[in-house]
This record gives sequence, structure tokens and C-alpha cells, in this order.
Amino acid sequence: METTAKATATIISPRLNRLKEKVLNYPPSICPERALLVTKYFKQKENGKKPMVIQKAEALAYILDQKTVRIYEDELIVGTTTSKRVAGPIFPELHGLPVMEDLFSFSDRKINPLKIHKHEKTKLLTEVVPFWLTRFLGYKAMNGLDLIKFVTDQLNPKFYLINETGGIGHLIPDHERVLERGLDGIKEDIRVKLNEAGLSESARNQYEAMIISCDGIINYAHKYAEKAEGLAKTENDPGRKAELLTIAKNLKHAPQKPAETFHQAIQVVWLMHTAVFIEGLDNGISFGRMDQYLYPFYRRDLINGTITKDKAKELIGCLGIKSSEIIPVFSSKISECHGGFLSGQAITLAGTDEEGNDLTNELTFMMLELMDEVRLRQPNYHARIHDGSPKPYIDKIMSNLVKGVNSPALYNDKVIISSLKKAGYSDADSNAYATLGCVELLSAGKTFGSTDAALVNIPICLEMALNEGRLFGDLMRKGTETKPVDDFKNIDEVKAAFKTQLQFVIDRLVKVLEPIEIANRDFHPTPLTSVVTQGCIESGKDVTSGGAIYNFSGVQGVGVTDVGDSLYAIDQLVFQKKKIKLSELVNALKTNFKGKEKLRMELHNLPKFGNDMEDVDALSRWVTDTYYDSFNGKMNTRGGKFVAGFYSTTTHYSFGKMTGALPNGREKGEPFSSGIAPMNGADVLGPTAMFNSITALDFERAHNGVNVNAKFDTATLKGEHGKMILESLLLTYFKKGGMQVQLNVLDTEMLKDAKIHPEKYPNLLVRVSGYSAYFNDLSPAMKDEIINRSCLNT
Amino acid sequence: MDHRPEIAFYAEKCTKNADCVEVCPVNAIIIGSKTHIDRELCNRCGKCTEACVTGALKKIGNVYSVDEVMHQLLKDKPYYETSGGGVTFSGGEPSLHADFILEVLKECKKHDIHTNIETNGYFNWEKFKPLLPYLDQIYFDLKIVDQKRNKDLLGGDSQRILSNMDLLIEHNAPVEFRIPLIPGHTTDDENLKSLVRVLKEKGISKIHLLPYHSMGEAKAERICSPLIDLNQKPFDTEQLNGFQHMFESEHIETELYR
Repeated sequence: METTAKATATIISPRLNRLKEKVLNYPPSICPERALLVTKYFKQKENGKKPMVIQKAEALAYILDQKTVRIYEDELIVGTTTSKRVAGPIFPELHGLPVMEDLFSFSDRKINPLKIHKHEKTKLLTEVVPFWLTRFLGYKAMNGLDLIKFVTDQLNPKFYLINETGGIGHLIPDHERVLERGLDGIKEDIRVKLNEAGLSESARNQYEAMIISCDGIINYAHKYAEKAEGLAKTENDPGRKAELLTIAKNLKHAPQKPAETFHQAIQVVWLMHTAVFIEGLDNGISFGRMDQYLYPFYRRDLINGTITKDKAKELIGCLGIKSSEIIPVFSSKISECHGGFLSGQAITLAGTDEEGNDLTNELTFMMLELMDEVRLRQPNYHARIHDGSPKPYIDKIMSNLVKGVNSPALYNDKVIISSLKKAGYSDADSNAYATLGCVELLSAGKTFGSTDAALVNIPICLEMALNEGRLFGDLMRKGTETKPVDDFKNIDEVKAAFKTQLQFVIDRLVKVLEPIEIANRDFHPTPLTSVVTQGCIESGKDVTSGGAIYNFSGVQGVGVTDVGDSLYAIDQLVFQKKKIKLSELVNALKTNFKGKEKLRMELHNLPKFGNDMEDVDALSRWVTDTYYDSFNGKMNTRGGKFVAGFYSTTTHYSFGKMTGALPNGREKGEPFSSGIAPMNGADVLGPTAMFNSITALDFERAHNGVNVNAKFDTATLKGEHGKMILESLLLTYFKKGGMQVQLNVLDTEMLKDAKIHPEKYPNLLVRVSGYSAYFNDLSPAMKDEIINRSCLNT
Repeated sequence: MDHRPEIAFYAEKCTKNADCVEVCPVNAIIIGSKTHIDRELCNRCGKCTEACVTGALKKIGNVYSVDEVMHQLLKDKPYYETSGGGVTFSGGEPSLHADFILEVLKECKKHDIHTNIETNGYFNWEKFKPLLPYLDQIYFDLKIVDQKRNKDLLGGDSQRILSNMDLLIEHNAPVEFRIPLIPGHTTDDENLKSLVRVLKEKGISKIHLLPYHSMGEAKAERICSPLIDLNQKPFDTEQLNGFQHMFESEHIETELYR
């Protein structure tokens, strides 16, 4: 879901180059500072007597006041979420306890190791852990047996992975409002509401908490301004001295007052970004349509002659590099589900205004250039594409992609806007949508969408459907009772049983989420997030109580095509060709094909989703439709609908581990297909066939977003011709109803890996000479030749 | 020339379960330390590929009706439209199936699909001519000019190829000529000079150069190709540039496939 950092690009600005090197060379770490400060605040007895929302606001203000102020060499944009250069904070009041469960293994673990000092561990263990043991969010959400059941269930998530016990996050702050009104202006707006007659106690508390948070940020900005002034005093280099004084001047002025310059505006965005991170949850906080809300500042400075194009670009680059300093701290269990230091800080590029007119501007192009020049893990750049997207914009995107930048990911306005309207967004807000996190869709500053509320293991519902509601080998029934396999007379009856099991799991998920939503409301309100989310000041409600204009809960389905292909295999072998009885097939699944390798291979080699075969694809389509239907009428406690999405982060591995063998020939414990992709290696008829299968699905109901990955080697996309082919391929896929696509152009290392692990890249298409071939079809010597060629190309 | 499908054997996927042996009507499959197909006996019926569940046996080449082909082709029509692409009839030698191709071509034109054919030029003009109204492009390979050398290596009369060139030019056909650069066979001075002469005689000012590559070797092994192993190394960039310069110094524009 993230682009890999590559050091091959040329950097135009030497400053950006130096900043990037610093970030790349710093070992990802854990910073205990936030955990210690938040604990210190909540340990004060007198604080506990205040309303929760006030406590939260004061705690945030306290952290912002007490945290270490860091301004690094060369920086023009300042502010950090931790005291270390590249690190993640800990949220003990949220998911912090499960995280600290493996405090001792962070540094040595295999997936995403994180550095932490011994004395810091000791501090966390003595000062933080004991206090939160009976106070963290999950504990407060449930009690007694429910809690124990929940904790054991979520340690190794089988049916679903719930993310909301770690707080909600996943929003785009309304930066525009802060830039235009300044926090003083916003405080005035809040005071007007506070003075209204007949205000409820809870609204009064909410408003007071909002004001405390605003003041906390003003103080935070001033502390940085003072630090910059202090550094300027001892700075010998006159150039740097001037820069430090500008930083100080910027922060003294904004965000307290409306931003006046482009530099100030970017500084405000970054400062608010870090504060929202520190308050809520360190995940999925995105920047929204940055090329749009920064543009007026850029124009003004340009006309005034106070900025140049290069300077503006460098400032955007500074913010981009800062976003790579942020690391999410996940326990090893959760890292298995969300691998690769996933912290989707998305920036949306271009797209249309509320009326549908194109909005591509100079800043859009600067960002497209920066993603090529800087090539860091974050931010996640997402480019909106519509019929009116200008040619130079499409052209620049394509040249980035053919060069192997692997960024931006592309979003199809036509499908997305129509989907958002169906989800309940106004026409204007649909047209002006933004992207968030990995692939999610929403209205910036207006939606509190909990877009990553949970992920669902869809294939495990088929496992239960084939075993009367039990997992293979279980005595206890975890699902609901459905027919014994011998009674299934046709594939429709199998599908009906699957549907019943899926509905049972979704019903239970929604029920389990309810106390967690309520715990978020009662114990983890986020007043600052509410200041920057439209609707909350107007209604006097926190985002966690449904204060936002738009409220949703996004639940991702994982393993769609595994189920579609499995249903096809059952239909073919059992009901059409009558080669095997369903009970025999299920017995083979229960024993993980022991002694039935031949049957497994036969199942594995049956036609699969991804090859543009109508009858096969229709079953995956049915699975997605059934998944959408399972949320019909379901509402969260914030008054919002449950909406579906299809992306898996890395849960297709973790869920796969917990799931038995499947009729598509997948063995027990093996990963599912990722996102909405075909079974790994099953798409053997080239990219157009794969895209045609994908567009057989109905994405207008995937309101939360989907992820589609396409892989190519560099030679396939070489030159102007390659660029034209890619453009045609991707834009036609959009024309046919694709929602999103992300490209991976394979570099030499990946090709080498493909030679050693052919099973990981079975469908890898490489350019030979005037035509393409499957990498695995080549002889070892030829593979080496392709690998060598790719070295020459880079 | 063999028109039958090929049976490809992927030895690395074979589990020696002998399902194929059971269904083979001519007993052509031998399982053992070196499992293989007796290609002399094999009649390419493909029954073994249907019985094989491991993916070790695959039939290359299927029989389709015109409707079936069109159903497949039309699936990607939107992609042809945006990429300026279309359908290319390739081979083997597609002109051997001229009657069938004519029907498919007519259908393609009904659907406004761009069409192209790749030919070795050794076709029967009377069979090929009816295709012309439906072809948007013809890729015509030029290999060896000398009659004897052509006969020895490729088995046909190069005069027929040269006369087909004339006929296509005469009919104003949208033809583009391509020279496969095959080490030891088409790239010696004598042949290149003859090729230049032919091109000049016929007023052809642009050609495509197709360098030899060895990417097909893995496949040759899988189908036990009866074709001779050329045992040649592909040209390096410098050599390829040399060929390009040679043609361009004769004022013939080149497009080199890399």
C-alpha cells in the first residue's frame, strides 16, 4: 500500500536531499514521551473529577506544552510528534496496553523492528503500564467475560479485526478553516455558541474543551517560535539565522491568526497535523486537497513577489519529508495485519470543484515532481482523474509511473463521485471529494468516517457454511447453524448458506463495535479533532458523538476472490461435472488435502477470477454484492451508515493463517488474495483480462474505497510508446468502471526475488523484444538476462 | 508445416501421477527418471492435457469458430480504441488460414477494429488478395534474397516472396517491411547488400529491424521443437547500431526493435 523508498531519483533542492538523508538514516524508533506525559496528567486525582472531554483537552494541551521541542538542521517547516527524528508515540490509554505487551521484543522482532532504549522500557513498565492496566479503552468498553472473550479473540483475529479499540483517527482536518479564520477566529465562533441560551451541560463542556485545545496549540506554536528565536541567537550562518527568524515569525503569527503567506500556511497545516496525531490516534490522518487550499496563498505570494516557484516547491517538499518521520507503533500481532509501517498520510491531487470543473494547478505539478524527486515512504499521493483532466497532468502522472516512481495512485472520479452520492453525500461534496489513508474516500473536514473500523475475513464464512456453522475441526459452533453438506442440492444452496454465515458474522461485528464506539465517545472524545471537523462547533457535539456533518463506519472485506473462485470450483466439480461429492470435497478440506494432493491441484488449476471469464467473474461479483447487502440498514452509534470497502493491508496473510483449506485449492493457513486482486498468479491472460474481470464488479457500492495493484517490469513501459500504452490501459480501465489503481514497476531487486520465488510472481509480465512474456516461462538464463537488462535501465 | 496444436510439457510441475498415461490413446507418454512424450507417437489429440491436474501438460493452440474468436477480441475493444491498437494475425504463418482469417477480418471491420497481419511473404497471391480490403496494416518479413540460400534454409522460393512484394506495392497495400536480424543467416554482408538492393529497386525507404533473441528457448524445450537450435548469441547494442547505420547510410530509414 505504500511506495518503497528508492535512492535513485535526482533531487533538485540540496536542502531536500539533506533532509531526506537524515530521515532515511535514522532507525525507526519508539518514543515514550507522550505515554509518560499523558499518564502523568491522568494520574492527578483532581483531574479525574472533570468531565472527560475537558480532561482530554487538558491532557493534549499538557502534552503539547511539555513535549520536547525539536528543530532540526535545514528545516523550514517544524514540529514533531515525538522527541526523536523518526519515531512513533505510544497511546497507552488506547491500544497502548496491547502494544506494550511486547515491549521487550520491539527491537528484535522480524516485522518492522523499532528501536527503544532500555531505560525507556523500564520507565514505561513502571510508570505507565500499571496505571493503564485497568483503564485503557478496550477495558472500559467491555467488562468481565465479554472483555476476556474480546481480548482473546482479537489477539489472533479470525473473523474480523477491529481497529476502533485503538481509537478512531482516519480523518482529514479542516485545514482551510484554520488557515482562513486562525484559531483566535475559531475560538470566537465557539464563544458565540457558548453564549447561546439553553445550552446543554455536555455542549458547554464540549465548547470549553475545544477552546482549551485551541489554546494548547497556540502555546505549542509559541514554544516552537521561542526555540527558533533561541537557535537564531547562536546561529553564525546569516542565511540560516534568517530562516530561523522566519520560522519564529511564522509561528508567532499562525495558526493563532489567519495565515498570511504560503510558508505560514504550510507550517500551519503541519502543526495541526501533528497535534491531531498526538490527540487522537496515530493513523490515517490525511492532508486532503492540499494543492487546492494552499493555492490562494501561493498565488498571492507570487504576485507580491515574495516567493518563487522553486521556493514554494521546496516548502511542500519539506512537509512531505516531515510526514516520513512519523512511524506507527503496532504490536507484532498488529504489524502482521498492517505491515510496512503503514501510516496512510494521503494527499489528494487535482480533481474537480463542487460544480465539476477541473482544478489542476501549478501546485499539483510541483507535487507530481516532488514524488519523483524525493521518493520517500510517505506521504501517499493520490491523483484524481476525470474526463476533463488536462493532458499535461495525465502526461506527468504517466511519466512518473513509467519511471518506476510507483506514485501517485489513481482515482476514478466518475465511479467515486457516483458512489459517494449513493452513500449520502451532497452533489457538491461528492464532486469535491478527497482521499484518505490507503484508499478511502470522503469529504475533507466534513466526514468522521472511521474508515478503518474493521476488516472482515470473508472466506472463513464459507468454511463455516461447509461445516454447519463450525470451523473445520471445531466442536463448538462459532457461526450459525446451516444445512449439512449432504443436503446441498445445487450451488445456490451453498451460496445461501455462505450468505447466512456472512450475515451472522457481520451482525456480530456490528454488535461488538457498538460498545467500542460508545467507549470512544465516553472515554476518548477528541475535542481538537472536533474543532477541525465541520458540524461539531455547530452542533456542540464531539466527533465521537456524531458531531460531524457526515458519519460512517468503513468495514473492509478480505478474500473476495478466494470465495468467488471456491464457489466456481464447487459448482464445476460437484454439481456440473459431478466428479466428486460435496462431502468428499469438504472432507479433503478438513484434512487440508492430506493424501488428496491431486484433488487440490485439480481445484487449483480450475479457471479463476482475473481472466475475463464471465461465468467465473460472476461469482466474485456475487460475493461483493452479498457483502454490500450484509450492511443494509446497519447504523453506528454516531448515526452513520456502515459502508464497505475492499482492501486488505496485510490481513490477507493474517486472516489466511486462521482459515482452513478452501475449494479454490488454497491450503490451510495460506494467504488469501490481496485486496480485490485475483488469486496470486491466477490471472494468466494479461492486464486487460485482469482489468476486465475487476470491472465486472460493482464499485459504486464500495463507498469506502478499493485497492487494485498492477505490476509491470520497466522495459514493458519503456519510452514514449510505453507511456502511451500505460495511459491507454489505465484510462480505459477507468472508462470501464474501475475505481482505483496503483502501479508497481518492478526494479532489479524484485526481479531477482521473482527468480528465487517464482510462486510469488507467477503472473509477472516482462517485455522481451517487441512482445511480452511471463517471467516464469523463461529459462533461468533468460531470467538473468532480463534482470541484467533492468540493472542497465536504472 | 504442421498445423496441429503443440503439447507442451512443463517437467518441473509434473508429479508423475500417470493420469496422462491412462488417457493417451497412442501410449506416447513415458514416465520414468526422465519423463517425456514420445513425439513420434504423439498425435496431439490433447487428451492428456485435459487429464493433467498439475498444469504440467498444456495444449498450445485451440480450435475456435469465427464467433468464438470475435467474442474474445471484442472484450478488449475499448483498449484498442484508446491505445491505437487492434488485432494482429500472427503465426506460424497466418496466410495459411486465409479463408478463416477473411471471415474474422470482415467481422473486425464491422466493429471498426484496426487490423494487421504478420507474414513471411510466402503466400499464394490469389488467397491473400481478398484479405486486402480488410487489412489496415501488413508486416512483411524479408529474410534471404538469394534463391538457393533461401531454399536451403527456409525451403521456399524467394522469387515468390519478391513477386508478392511487387504485387502488394502495386495494389497500394499498407505494407511495412521487416528484416529479422538473425546471426549467421540474414546479417552477412552479401545478404544485407542484396536486401538493400531489393529495397531500393522497389522504392522502399523505411524498414523495421527485428533482432534475434533467445527468449523462446525454454519453450522450444517444452514442446521438443524439431527446429534446429541456432546456437547463436543475440547481437549486442553496438552490433545493432552498426546494422542501423548501414541501412541509414543507404538512405533507408530504420526502426529497431529492442
